[in-house]
Amino acid sequence: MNTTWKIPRGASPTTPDVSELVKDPLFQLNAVIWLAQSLPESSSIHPGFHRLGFSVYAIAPPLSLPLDLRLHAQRLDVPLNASVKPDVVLESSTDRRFAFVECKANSFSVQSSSVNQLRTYLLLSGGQAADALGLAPGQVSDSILSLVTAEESRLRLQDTTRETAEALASKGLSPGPFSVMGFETSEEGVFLCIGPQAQAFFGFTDGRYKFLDVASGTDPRPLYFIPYDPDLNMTGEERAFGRRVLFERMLAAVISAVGRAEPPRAVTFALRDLLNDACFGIFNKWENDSSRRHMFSITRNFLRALEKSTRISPSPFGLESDMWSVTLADEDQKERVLDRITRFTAESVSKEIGAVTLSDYPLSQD
Amino acid sequence: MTDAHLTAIHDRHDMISYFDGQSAANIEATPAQRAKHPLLKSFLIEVLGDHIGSDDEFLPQVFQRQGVSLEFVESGLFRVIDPNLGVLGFVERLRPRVVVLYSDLRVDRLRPWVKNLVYGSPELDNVWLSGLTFSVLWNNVVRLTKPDRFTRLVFTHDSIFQMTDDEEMDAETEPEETSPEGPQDEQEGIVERRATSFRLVDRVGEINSKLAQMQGLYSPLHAISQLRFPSPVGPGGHDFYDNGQVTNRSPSFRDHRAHLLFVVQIYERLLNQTEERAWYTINESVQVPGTFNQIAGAPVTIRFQDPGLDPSVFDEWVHATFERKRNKFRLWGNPLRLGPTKIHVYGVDRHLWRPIWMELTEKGCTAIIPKGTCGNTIHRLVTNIQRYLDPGIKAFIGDLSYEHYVEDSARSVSYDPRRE
Repeated sequence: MNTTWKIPRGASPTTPDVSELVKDPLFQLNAVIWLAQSLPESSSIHPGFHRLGFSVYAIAPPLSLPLDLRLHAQRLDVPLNASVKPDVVLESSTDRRFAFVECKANSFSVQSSSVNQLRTYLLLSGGQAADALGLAPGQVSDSILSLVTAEESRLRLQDTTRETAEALASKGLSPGPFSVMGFETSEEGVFLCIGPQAQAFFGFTDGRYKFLDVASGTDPRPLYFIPYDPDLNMTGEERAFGRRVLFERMLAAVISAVGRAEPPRAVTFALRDLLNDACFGIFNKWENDSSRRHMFSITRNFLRALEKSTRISPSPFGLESDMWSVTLADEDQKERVLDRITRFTAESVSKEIGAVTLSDYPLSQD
Repeated sequence: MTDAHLTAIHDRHDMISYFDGQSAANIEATPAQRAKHPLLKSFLIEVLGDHIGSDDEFLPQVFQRQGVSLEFVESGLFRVIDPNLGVLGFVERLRPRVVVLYSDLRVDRLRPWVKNLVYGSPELDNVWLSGLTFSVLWNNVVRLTKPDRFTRLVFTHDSIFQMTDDEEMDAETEPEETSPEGPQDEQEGIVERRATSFRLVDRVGEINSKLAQMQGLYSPLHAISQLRFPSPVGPGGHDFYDNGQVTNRSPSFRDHRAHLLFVVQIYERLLNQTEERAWYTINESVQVPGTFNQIAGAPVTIRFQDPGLDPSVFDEWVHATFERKRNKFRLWGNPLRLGPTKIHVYGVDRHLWRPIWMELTEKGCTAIIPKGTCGNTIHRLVTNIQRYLDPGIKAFIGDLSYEHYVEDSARSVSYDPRRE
């Protein structure tokens, strides 16, 4: 590796363990989204799903099974989740086929509590897909549950899923088709390993699809659409990386708004809007209260760190409840605020803000 | 042009007649006379804002914020008054998003004036005509002009990121622009980096038969920075520059204005198409409002020619762009270094103050443009990358080429040089 690169201010080379990275559901989620984007042939990202006609239909949609099916399962003593949120739903709009994609860090056994969720997905991807998506039955011609994990876990997860599906069938229920795909890395890049079921459903001609070209000694992460999701079982390193991206995006949103402002005026930000903009709108969809509180908390801490770094007296910032404001009395103050906040880097904050109870952080000054 | 002449103009017809007379006189003038009466320059400027297309109050407010008065002449037409220079010319709204400044002020005074105006305002930006856009416009020149007419192309590529240490020390501010009337002679001394800037004047047919072949042999010839549309009504023509300047070297202002309208229509369509396709946003599902998030948009991909940038050039590009407040790309961001030649930047277009997320590698650039970021950010990026990094880039929005969008925009625009 070339060791002579200049490290720009606020930047440090990331050194992920690539074999660990592909296990991370956040990486997997972003990879699946990229696989469904429209890109040229010459791109270093090869969007296999898109080239086979699939696009992102929904991100983390809350889906529930019909009540009669849930009651029927209850009578059969089959535990299910009341609702599920697949990470991504892919759609082939030309022939109305849908894939419910769920990213998994690891495999699990049939005794695991995760099997309730798995059963729900299996039933949902069967004959219930149209109802769950709110579509007329004729609008879904075919559907599949597609689990995504690291390649090293793929076969075990496939066995667990197959056993679970067989158990459902043995009780007279109708699980839908499923597939398990696995990400793996080599010196050539990041690959998606695809079993026969997924090959048949999506139309892949080979069991191993190169998703990403990666140069030697380089972190393979693509740009992240979704930078952070406390509901995902993220690794510690990925959590820190995701926070950094989240904070950089929030900082960009703040700088953009201040840059466009015409003083005198107060620029106000709802924390919810900052989070939504930084998370591509999915923050509003998080229903887990503790996750939302966590996100609000780390956002407040980030903003306090940003305020502190500017060292402007009297402070032009105000943080009340879920609103943050920057008061720009005149052009001079606007320039001063812009100058300071554009010198700020979220690097140290993203490392230090881990526990939600922390409230103040030392910052490196350039 | 004197203040008295310009103040006497009461409507668009007056202005067109006045500039038409000036243009005809200029074409017959001797060099000495022309020095006293400079050519008419038009500067195409994009205006950002929701009201630009609909009222005559918004535009004066935008200019007033930069200390420039716009005096209403008639709907969509204003007299431009600078507190120091007096009456400078006129601003006309050509399309909802694009205005033009007409002035015959000497170019060495007018160009910095426009540059300061645009740089100072997040509501104004140059119209950015990249080499890729010019290549499509060139095809229009070929189709519309007799092959024996003379035309002029200027190619400019300057690898400013191939720097020696000494040069780096001098580069804290932006390098000076090249002369608008043509490329400057090389500075004295040895230029260590690749710098191509030359003018090609020949018959349209002759250039057309050779250009593709020459571009294959020498990639800087893709970096067209200036193109002349020969005038169909007389000698000379209309010189379009990559930053939106257009010099009238024809005997007719009406013809000049018709060419501006033609190119501006293409450009505005291009802007709209770019934003329609590239803007990333989350749409809520039609079927279940308020429930599903659907990603809409497409990445912008720019690919360098093989084998890509030299690592030292990549490093200097990143350093010069994100370490310097005043940088050629007008970007801000804290780069996340992911490898020797790979960074992620969740940054800001610091001219228009809108976010842009980018991956930069030695092979190219991938950008995600959140909804609301102006399409001009993309066109400035493409123009600057072609000019300063790699003249032979390929650019795409989604899986379609950038040229496809320009061609598509040009295809549906009518060309009528007689229209006023």
